[in-house]
This record gives sequence, structure tokens and C-alpha cells, in this order.
Amino acid sequence: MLSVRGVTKKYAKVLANDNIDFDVSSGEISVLLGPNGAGKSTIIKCIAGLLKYTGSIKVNGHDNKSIAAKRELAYIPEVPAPYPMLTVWEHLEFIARAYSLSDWTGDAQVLLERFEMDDKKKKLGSDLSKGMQQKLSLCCGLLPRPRLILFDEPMIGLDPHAIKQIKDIIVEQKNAGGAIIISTHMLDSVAEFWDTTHIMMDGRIEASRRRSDGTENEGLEDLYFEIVESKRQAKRAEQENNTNGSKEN
Amino acid sequence: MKAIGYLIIMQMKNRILALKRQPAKMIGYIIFTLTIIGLIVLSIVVPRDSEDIKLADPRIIYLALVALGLFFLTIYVGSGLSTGSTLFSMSDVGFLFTAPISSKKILLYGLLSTFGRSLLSSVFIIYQVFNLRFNFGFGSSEIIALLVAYTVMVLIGQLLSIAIYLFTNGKPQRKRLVKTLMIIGGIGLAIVLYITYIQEARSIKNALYSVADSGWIGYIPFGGWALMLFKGLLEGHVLNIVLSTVFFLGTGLAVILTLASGKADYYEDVLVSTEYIFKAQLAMKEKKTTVHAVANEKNRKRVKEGQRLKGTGVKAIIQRQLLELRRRNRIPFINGYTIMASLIAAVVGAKAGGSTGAAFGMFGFLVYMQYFLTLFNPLSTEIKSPYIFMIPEPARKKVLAASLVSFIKPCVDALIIFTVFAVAGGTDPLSALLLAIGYAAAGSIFIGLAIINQRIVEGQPNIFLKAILGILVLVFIIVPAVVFVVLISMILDEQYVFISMLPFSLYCFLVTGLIFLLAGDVLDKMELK
Repeated sequence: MLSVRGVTKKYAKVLANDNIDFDVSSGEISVLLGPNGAGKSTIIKCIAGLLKYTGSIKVNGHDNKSIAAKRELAYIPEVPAPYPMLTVWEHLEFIARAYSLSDWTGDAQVLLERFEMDDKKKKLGSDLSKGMQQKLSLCCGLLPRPRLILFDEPMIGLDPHAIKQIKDIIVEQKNAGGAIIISTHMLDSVAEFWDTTHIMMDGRIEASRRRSDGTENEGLEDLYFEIVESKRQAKRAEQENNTNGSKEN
Repeated sequence: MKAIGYLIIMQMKNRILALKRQPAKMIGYIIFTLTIIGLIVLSIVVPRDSEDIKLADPRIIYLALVALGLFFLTIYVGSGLSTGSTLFSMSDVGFLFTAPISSKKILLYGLLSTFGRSLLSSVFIIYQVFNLRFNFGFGSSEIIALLVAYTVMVLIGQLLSIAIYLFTNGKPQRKRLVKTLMIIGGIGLAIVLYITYIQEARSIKNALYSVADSGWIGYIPFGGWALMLFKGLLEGHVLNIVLSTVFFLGTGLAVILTLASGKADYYEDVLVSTEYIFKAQLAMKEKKTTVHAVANEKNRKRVKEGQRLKGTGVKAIIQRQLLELRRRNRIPFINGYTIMASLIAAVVGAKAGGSTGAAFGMFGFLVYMQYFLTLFNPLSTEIKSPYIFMIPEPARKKVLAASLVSFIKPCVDALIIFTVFAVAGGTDPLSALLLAIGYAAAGSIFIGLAIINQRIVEGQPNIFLKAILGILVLVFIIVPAVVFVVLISMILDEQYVFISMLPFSLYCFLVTGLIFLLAGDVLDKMELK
């Protein structure tokens, strides 16, 4: 469903993504893990078609910036930003129009009920709390029934009910053959359903693991700290060597 | 386009409907609209006797238009060099950019929205309709011409900002090139102005009028182009209309074609500036700072080796503020305001040297400016942050420590501004010193006012009531000081009139001390919002 090949993204002198390669198949939940500044959000934005990059990103065989790819893609940003002067329902109607959806009202109603927002239909975006804005962002992302969903820290700011709903939806999407990418710091929140994980540091994928390869027993948290800490130690040792080397010179 | 059309219509509809829940805003809009209509009607109905009324020179408007254009040019080039301008909101990034809608249609939507905003911002010209008609003899065609010139200038300015951002983003050499071109242009303009000033027998007024009459001014980007368009429309000068339109449209079209050609992937370019503005707006909503301050923050981070925090307890608050100040400004306490105020002092000093009225006028103006600057002083934001509540020190000591850096700023400004004023011949050194003390004293009372406002005004839920209360408190506190100055000035001979600054300063310092004594425990009494 998604193919990322040799993607490199530079901001002036900062290398945010360095030659990233990975694939996500239909019915697969792929988790991007890594410390702050690892480049997780950047690669998500590249896939969403918001950033320029070198390399190739294909969504179901289409170039990710093409209209065909966008029909299959949903992006749930970390910071929700609804239109302040559009009501909740109008946001959904706008999405329905933008994606040329027909018979969407039933789906919209179900989504609003699942996220306990059916009584907020007439509320303006500017009147919603941050959690509600995040729920609206999720509803808008899910309404077009995308085949690839990009979640950037989806559970931040949500109440327990919404977190449960989003977890259920992720599993439902997977079972329905959807591909999901989740960037998160909250290891516990994805521990129960991840299929593949890519651990990123300094813009690179340092390790990739597949649950079916037996990593499940190891635990996501242990795996994360094992890889991140060992890389950090290696980096520190390299820096010390460089410092000692320059002093000797 | 149906999705975008729906978006535009619904947003407009809801904006109007939302006024039902904001009666104060609605009344404000109604008053504003009625005033504009009233002004237009009055300007048509009220007869004007051209023999009795001497019209002002239209070149004043020409010069204002050029100045405004040059100001916009500087602002837009500046924003192009840092974050770029944006035609979109953060909501557009999240909902539109990822939707299966052609990027060209999205660009058109961005351009239309920006054009609408530019048109709205030009309403202030209609507010001047009475003035333009009776003082300058402008009719509706002239006012429409002015509106057109202004709107085009603002719209193309935003596009220019995007173009400069696309051209220079991540390319320091290109940034230097644009900066150098701007500096060369500025110096060139200053030289021409100086030569004209000499030619016009050293009369600033005549020199400026001569520039407004000249043909070359029309070729200066933005200000000049706008003037060429305006004059062309007024005088029916086809060549001027065509040339200025070509300049403006050429700039605009070049940017639009670049964006639409696909060579420049505008999503990323506008994403950076849109995220930036979004963060700034969020920060402003949370009352942390101003949009301008956030926008400039990026360029002001200078972490140098050896810069470290010192002190313990309340001293740590002072040291932290000083450290932040060193990182924000090249020279601590000296910023753009210090330079601008010193320039004003130099001009007033040189032009109206020795005039008591001019000195007091300038003093009053600068104190007035200082009041607004104090609204954004570190104390105002510091007192609202949670950490200051938590520091285990007495509230009064914490407030004093948090105010100290804010208080040093007007002292440094006073010293520089009034030294410049004295050197430029505005007054003798002793009088300048008295004015400087008065300025610093006014600064101290404004800082005290920040504390008072926290105690009295901040709890008010209504923003209008809050503003009115704030002004009332200011008037209540400052009026006795002004009365002192006036009364004592009446008693004293003109040569000693500046001595009236002493009781003014004494009053301000005493009241500030009293505020700190009585309301210094503000942190124990207020609640964090």
C-alpha cells in the first residue's frame, strides 16, 4: 500500500530524514518510534505530501502528491487546527465535498457518536476544546474511508473513551485491509496491536522489527530502550573518541 | 471547486451568525459601518464653499502613499527573508492540502482569501473620506483610485513576500543579495532626498513636495508604483496606469506562475510560515506574548559559550531575565524603540532647539509610547507564569525581582534619548537630565500599574470592562503627577520650567513604592489563569 524509498529531507543544514526506506502493506499497522527530533513527524508530513523531499513515496502505486494517492490517504496531524468558523457538521460536509463522497451522512453520524460528539454538531471549531478538536480531526480523517491512515501522535489530549475508540478504529481499519502508520511516544498505547515498528534516531531508521518474527515476546518498550540506549551510548563513545583525538592532535 | 466554494460560503455565514453571541462585537461593527456610511453621506450632502476653504496640498497624500508603500515593502521583504508570508491558515494545511483537490485550485482559494482580507483592510481609507473630501477636495473617483492603489499594494506585497521566501529559503547567499539590494536602494533614496533637500534651499517640506512631483519616484517598487497608479487614475494618464499595472501585475503574475508551475512545491513553503503564524497566534491567545515577538524569536536566539544563569532565590529570576535579554538583543536594553525614540529626539532637538513646548511635547509623546510598550514588559508575562508562584520566596521579593529588569529598560532609554536630545540642541544638559528622570519615573509607575492591574482588573471577565478599568486606573494614578507639572510650570519662569519634572518624578517614584508596598503580595492574592 505504501512504499517509501530513499527519502531524504533537509531543512537548510539540518538532515531531518536520511535515506528512509520502508513499506507498509494492506492490513498492517506500522509504528514509528523514536525520541523527540528523530524525524518521525517529518517523514509523516513527507508521506502526506506536505513537504518536499528527494526519493520516492508511492501510495498504492501512485505518486503520493497525486490526486489519486490523496483519495486513499488520511493524515491526522499532531496539533488539530479546525476551521474556527465552521461547525463540526460542516467540517464533515466539507470533507465529503472535497473527497466527492456520496451517502456520507450515516458514516458521519456513526463517527460522531463513537467519539461522543453527536451533541456538538452545531458547535464552531473555535468553540471546541483541544480534545474535541482532536476528535473532530479524527472524524474528518476517517470519513472518506481511507486505505492508508497517517496518525501523528493521535492519542495526545484525548480522554480514555476516545483513546479506546481510536484503538478500536485502528484495529477495525487493519481488519478491513487498511494500512496504518502511527508515530508516537506512547509505547503502551500501541503495544497491543502493532505489526511492524521502525525505531528512528537522528533522521534515520536504526532498527525495524516485525511482530510476527517473534519480537512480541521481547516487548515494545524493552526493544525501544535497548536500541535507543545502545545507539546513544555508541554515539557518546564516538564523540568522546573524536574529542580525545582532537586533543591529542 | 464545490468544496472550496462551500468552505468560503459557510465561513462567511458563520462569521456573521457568530456575532449574535458577541453583542459587543456586533455593536462595534454596527457603529463602525454606520460611521463610514455617515461620513460618506456627510461628504456628499454637506456643501463645501471652495472659496472659504483652502485645500491642503494633495502631495501630502502622495507622500503618505509612497511612505506607506515603502513601509510595506520593508515589512514584506523582511518577512520573506525570515518566515515568508502565507495565503493559508493552519486549518487549510490540515484539511485542504491533504484533500484530493488540485493544488492550483487551492492556490486560487488562497489568493482570493488574501485579496478579501486586503480589501477589508483598505476600509480605513473610507474612514478618511470626510477628511479627504473637505481638506483635499477629493471626490469619489479619487477615493476609489486611492482604494485601488492601496489594495493592489497590499495584495502584491504578500505575493512578493512569498516570492522572496521561495528565492532565499535555505540559501544564505541569496538572502545577503536581497538584503544588499534593499540597503543599496535605501542609501540611494536617502542620497537623492539629501540632494533634493540641498537644491530646495534646505527646506524639508519643499524637498519632499519636489520628490512627490518628480517622475522617477513612480519607479520605486510599491510606494512609487502605487503613487504612479493613483496619479494615473486621477489625471487619466494612460501610460502611468499601464506602467504601474504592469509593475504590480508583473510581480504578482511571476509569483503565481512560479507557484502554479509545479517547479516550486508551494505546500512546503507556505507550511513553514503557516505553522509559524499559527504558533504565534496560539502564543498570543495564551497571552504569552505578541505575534510580532514570536515571529522575531527565531532570529533572536543567540546562545553563546559562557552565558549561564547565576544567583539563587529571587536573584535567579533577575539573572534569568537578563540572560534572555542578552539573547534577544545585541546590546541588552537597547532595541528598535530606543533607536527610533533617539532619532525622534535628535530631529526635535535639532529643529525646535530650545523650545520648551517642543521638549514637553516630545516628552509626552514618548511617555505615551512607553505606556504601550510597558504592556508587554517581562513583568506582565512573568506574573502570569506558574513557576513564579512556586518559587519558595516571599511574594513581595519575587515581584520586586521580576520587576527590576523591566525598570532598568526605561532608565537606559531615558539616558540615551535625552542625551541625544541635549546634544542635538534640544535643551541644556540639566534640563535633559530632569526630563530623563521624569521619563524613568513614568516608566516605574507603568510597571507598578502592571501589578495594580493584576489585582483589580485581571479578574474581570469582560475584555471591554477590563480595558476601561485599566485606563481609569492609569488616569487616576497619573493625573495628580500631570497636575503637579502644570501648576509648577505656571509658577516658574520659562528657563526653570523643567524643574517641574522633579515633583512629577518624586510623585511617580513614591506612588510606585506605595504600590509595591501595598500590592506587592499580588502573587499570594491572585490566582493563576
